[in-house]
Amino acid sequence: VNDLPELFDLRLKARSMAFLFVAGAGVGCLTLVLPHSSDVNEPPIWGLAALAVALAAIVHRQADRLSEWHLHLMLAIGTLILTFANYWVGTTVFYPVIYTWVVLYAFYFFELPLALAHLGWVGANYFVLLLIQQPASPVVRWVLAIGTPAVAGLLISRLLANLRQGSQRALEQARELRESEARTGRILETAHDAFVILDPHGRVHAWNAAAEDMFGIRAREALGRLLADLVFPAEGRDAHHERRRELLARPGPVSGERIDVQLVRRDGTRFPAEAAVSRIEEGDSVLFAAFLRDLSAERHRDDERAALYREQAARREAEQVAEMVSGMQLLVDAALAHTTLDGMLGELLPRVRAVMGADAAAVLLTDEEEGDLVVRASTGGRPEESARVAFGQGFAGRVASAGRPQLVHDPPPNDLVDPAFREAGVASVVGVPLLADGEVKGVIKVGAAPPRRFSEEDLAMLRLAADRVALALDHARLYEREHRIAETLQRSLLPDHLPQLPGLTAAARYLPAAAEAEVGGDWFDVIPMAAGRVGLVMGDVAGKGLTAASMVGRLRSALRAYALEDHAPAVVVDRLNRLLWTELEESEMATLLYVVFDPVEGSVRWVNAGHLPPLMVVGDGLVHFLEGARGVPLGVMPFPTFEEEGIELAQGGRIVLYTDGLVERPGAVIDAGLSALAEAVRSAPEDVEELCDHLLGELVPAAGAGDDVALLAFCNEPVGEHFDVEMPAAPESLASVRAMLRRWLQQADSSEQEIAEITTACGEACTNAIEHAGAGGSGSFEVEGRLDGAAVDILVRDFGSWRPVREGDQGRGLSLMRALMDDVAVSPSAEGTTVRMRRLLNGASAE
Amino acid sequence: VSDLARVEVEERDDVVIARVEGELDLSSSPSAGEAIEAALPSSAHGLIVDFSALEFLDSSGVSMLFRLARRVTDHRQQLHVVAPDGDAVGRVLEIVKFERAAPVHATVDDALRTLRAALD
Repeated sequence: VNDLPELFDLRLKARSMAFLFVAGAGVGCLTLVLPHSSDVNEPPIWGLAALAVALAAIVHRQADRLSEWHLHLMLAIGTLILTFANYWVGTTVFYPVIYTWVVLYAFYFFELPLALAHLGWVGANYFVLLLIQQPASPVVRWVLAIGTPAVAGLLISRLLANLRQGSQRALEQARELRESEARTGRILETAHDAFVILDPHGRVHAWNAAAEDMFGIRAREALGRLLADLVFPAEGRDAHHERRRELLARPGPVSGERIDVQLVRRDGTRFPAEAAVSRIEEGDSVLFAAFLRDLSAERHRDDERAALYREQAARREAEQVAEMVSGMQLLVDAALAHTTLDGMLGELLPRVRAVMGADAAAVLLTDEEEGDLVVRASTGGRPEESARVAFGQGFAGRVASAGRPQLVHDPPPNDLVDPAFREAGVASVVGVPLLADGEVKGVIKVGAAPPRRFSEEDLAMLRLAADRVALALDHARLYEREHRIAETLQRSLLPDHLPQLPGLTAAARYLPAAAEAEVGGDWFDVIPMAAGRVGLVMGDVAGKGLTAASMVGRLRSALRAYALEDHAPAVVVDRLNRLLWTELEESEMATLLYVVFDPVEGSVRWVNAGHLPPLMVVGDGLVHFLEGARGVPLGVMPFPTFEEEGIELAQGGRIVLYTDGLVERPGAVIDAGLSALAEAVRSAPEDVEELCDHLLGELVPAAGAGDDVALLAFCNEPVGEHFDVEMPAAPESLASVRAMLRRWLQQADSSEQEIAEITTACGEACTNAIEHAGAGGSGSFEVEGRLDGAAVDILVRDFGSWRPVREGDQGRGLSLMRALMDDVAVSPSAEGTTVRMRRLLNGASAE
Repeated sequence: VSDLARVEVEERDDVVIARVEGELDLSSSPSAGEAIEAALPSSAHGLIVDFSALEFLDSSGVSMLFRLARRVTDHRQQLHVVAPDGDAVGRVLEIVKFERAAPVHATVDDALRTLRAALD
C-alpha cells in the first residue's frame, strides 16, 4: 500500500480524466442513439464525442509525462467541449447537469482554490450558453447558471473532503498499527527473555526466538500445544493450570504478575525461572502474555555475589585481626625494646593510647609495702607523688581488688585518680589488672573522651596488652635485679681500696656507664707478689651484664693464682688465654693488660693482649704510650704468641692503665681520644689520686660515659728518709714489706748482709703483728723506718692483742729479732703491740 | 705450691731430696712443709731438705723444719738439712740452733754421704 499523496498521483489523475472524457463522449453518443428531440443537431455532437475520446487517449497514453497544469488545461478544454455539446443539444433544462462531473473531478483531485477556478470557468461557460439560448425568465436563467453548479459543487466537495480525511486517517492508523506490530514483533522476537502468548486454555499462540533457545523447542512445534505439556515438569502442571484459572477469574487487571516456577527443557534439564504474566482482554477474547526469565545464571550470580560478600567480610575481619595484631606487635616491641621499667612504660603508654584510639593511658603499680596503687606512668606526663589509690577505691582500685577487667562509662569525677584522665575529659574508661604469678601487680587503664566509647572488644584488646605489659614488667624487674646483682658483683670484684705497697702509690677509678646501660666487663686489679713486685691488671671482657661480671670473676681469680706463682708476665697471659680458650665458652673474649712493677729494680714489664696501650709519664710531663708487646685479645686463638717488653720506670714516673670507655666517643676516631688522654695526662698533677680525678674531669662528659670507664694509675714512688707503710694483716703482706724494706735500705747505703738481717728481724716483728691481728685485731699493721745517723730504727705496730711469749714458734721469732738487731723492745698494750728495733750500720763500704 | 716458695722433690733410692726455692715465711712455710711431707714415703730412710737456693727464711720456716724433724724421727727416719754457710738462711738456722734437731750440711753431697754412712 502506498502513501496517501501517491493515491492522488498524476498518473491516477490523468487516467481518471481520460475516463471522464470517455464517459462524457459515451453520454453524448447515448443521447444521439436514444430517441431525442429534433432540436438536437447530431453531426457536431458526434464530432465532439470523437474529440473527447481522442483527448482521452492522449491523456491516458501520456499519463507519465503530464504535469498538473496540463490536467488543468485539459479539464478546461473538457468544460468547453461540454458547453459546445449543450449548445448543439438545444435548450434542455437538465442537460447542463453534466457540468457537475467536471466540478466533481476538480474538487476531488485539485486543491480548493484551483477547484474553485474550474467552477468559475464552468459558470462562465454556462452563463454564455444561457445568453445564447435565452431561456424564458432571466432570474431562472441566473439561478440555474450560477446556483446549480455552485451548490452541487460545494456539497460534493465537502463530502469528498470528509471522505478524503477519513481515508487518510484510516490509512495512517493502519500503517501505524502495522509498524507497531512489526516493532513489537521484532522486539518480542529478539527479546532476551522468552515470550509466549497463551489462550485461556493454556495453548500457545506466540513463541519467540528466545523461547526457542530457552527450551530447545521450535515455534512451529510449540504453537497450538498446551504450555503445560511443553515446559512444565509433570508435578508442576496442575499448579500451572490452577494458577491460570485463578488469573483468568481474578477481577481487575492482571499485569506483570511475577511467578517463580521450575521449568524443564526439551533435553530434560530443569531450571528455575521467573514468569511475568499479563492478562490481555480484547472484547470477549482473553489472552495471557508471559515473559519467562531463566534464573539459573542469576542464581549463580547471586551465589557469586554472596561468596564475594563472604570473602569481603572475611577480609575485613582478617584486616581487623591484622590491625590488632600489628597493634599488639607495637606494644610487645615497645615492651621489649626497653630494659628499665620506667623506660619501657614511657615508650609503651603512648603506643597503647594510639593503638586503642584513647585519650589517656596510665599504669598503676602495686606498692606492696603500702598496700595500695601508685601511678607509675601516665600519658599526662610525670605522675604526682600523691596520685595513689587504695585497693577497692576509685576505678583503678576496683579493677585491682576485683582482679578482673572493667569497662565503665561516665564515671564520677573523683573516680579517676590520674589528673591526665580528668584533663582529657574521659567519659569512657577500661582497666585491666596486671597479673603475674596470680597476683595483681598493677593496673593498666585507658580512657577516651566523647564520642569515643570503649566496647567489649577494646576491653579484650587491653587485656591482651596487659598480658604483655605484665610480662614486660616481670622482665624489666628481673633485668633491674640482674643489673643490681651484676653491678654488686663487679664492685665486689674490684678492689675497694688498693694495697699500699713499698715503692708504689696507686689510684684507681671505676665509673659505671650512664643510666640504663648494662654493667660492663671492665675490671682492674693490683696484686702484691714475691720480692715486692706488684702485678697491675686492666681488662675488658666482651659482653655486658651478669655474664660479663662472672667472667671477670673467673679471670681475676685465675690471673691472681698465676701471678702469685711468680710466672713471667707472658706466661701468665698465655695461661689465661688457654683457660679462656679451653674451659670457658667459645664466644668469650677479653682484652687484658698485665703490667708487673718491680720497685726494687725500678722497672716495669708488660704484656698487652689486645688492650689499649698503657701511658707512661716521666719527668716533667714527658708522655708516651707503651706501644710494644701488643698481641691478640684473649680467647680468639688457641696458641697465640704473647711477647713481653720491659722499660725502666724512673722514680716519680707514672703509668696510666685505662679501658676504652675513657677514650672512645661516639662519632670520633679513637686516635682523637688517645691524643686527648695524652694531653690530659701531660697537664695532670703528679699525685696519682689527683691525676685520676683530673683525667675523669677532662675526658668524661658531664652527662656520664656511654661505656664503663676503668682507670688505674701508679707511680714509682721516690724513696725518702722515712719509711712508712700500713699493710693488711695477712701473711701475703710479708714479702712486700721485705721488698720495700730492702729497697729503702739500699738507699741507706747498707751492706747485703745488713739488709738481709734487718729484713729478717723486721719480718719476725711483722709476723707477730699479723698473728696478733688474727686474734681480734684491726686487720692491719704499720711499719716505720728511720735513718738516725749510722743507725736504723724500725718500728712495727699492730692493733691486736698481745700474746705472751712462749717457747716455740713465737719465742723463736723474738730470739731471732734479738740476735739480728742491736736493740729490741716489745711494748704490749690494750690497743696493740709495738716492737721497736735498732741496728747500727757499718755500711756497704765497711765490707 | 705457694706464692713465694716452690718445692722440687727427687728420690734417690731410699732417700728423698726436697729442694726448696724462693722465700719461706708465714705465707709459704705451711704449704711447703705439707708438700715435703706428702712427698716422703714411710718406706724412705732419709730426707734431705735442700735450702741452697732458698732466698729467705724466717721463724715460721724454721718451725716448719722442726715439725718435719719430729715427724721424721717418729717414723725412724733421718733428716738432714743443707744450707750454705754464711748466708742469711744459714745464719737463721744457726741462731735458732737447729743443729740440735738435725744435722746441717753445706752441700747435698755432704748430706748424702753422711746419711749413707749412718744407714750402713
